[in-house]
Amino acid sequence: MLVLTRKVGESINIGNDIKITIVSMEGGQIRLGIEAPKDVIIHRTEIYNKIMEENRKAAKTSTLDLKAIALDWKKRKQS
Amino acid sequence: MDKKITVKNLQLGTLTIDSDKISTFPEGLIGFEELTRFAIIDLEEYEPFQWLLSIDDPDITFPIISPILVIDDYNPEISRAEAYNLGEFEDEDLLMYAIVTIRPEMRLVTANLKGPVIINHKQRLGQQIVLTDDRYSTNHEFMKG
Repeated sequence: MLVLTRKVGESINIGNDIKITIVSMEGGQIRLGIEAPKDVIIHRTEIYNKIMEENRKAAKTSTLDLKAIALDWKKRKQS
Repeated sequence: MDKKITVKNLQLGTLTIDSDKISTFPEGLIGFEELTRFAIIDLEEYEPFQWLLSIDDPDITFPIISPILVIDDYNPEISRAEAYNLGEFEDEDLLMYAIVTIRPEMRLVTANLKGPVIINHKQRLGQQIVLTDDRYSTNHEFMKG
């Protein structure tokens, strides 16, 4: 991994069309400003891990549990 | 002529699936990248839930629900750039599903509204899209025992 030191207000360029600026730094938190073309997808990394975790949990669902919840759903809709 | 295939799932038993109901997910699902073909299984006893079944490994299934049953105005913004595995589409070609997680120990049911499964039913292409839309969460609570 390339590690660079930057100060607030300074930035880096990735390729020709992506620019990341250090906007502010406070209490261990760094705010980044990102300029990129619209078709570049930007996410916080932890969101992928959370979705992976949800998917793995969901894949272990027992049919009995889902059946019980489906019944419960239908009861709630009726009442 | 419709071709049918038969798969066996440990919990759901033997299922017959029309091969034209199978969608290809070029990148699989997040955490399940090696599984690229899925079908949606409707079984009355699980309504309104459905199962997203892996054709590549039929013992892997995900409970899903239409997200508008969870939040009736669910309407995330999805850009063409985000939906890069869905081919050419008009908005009405897209079917949206939320993967459901049951937490029996907490008697809680949640839906992943942040990472919906989207299928372009005309081209039978699918993708789990991580929304940039910040209104939705990965574990939206919608039923409590």
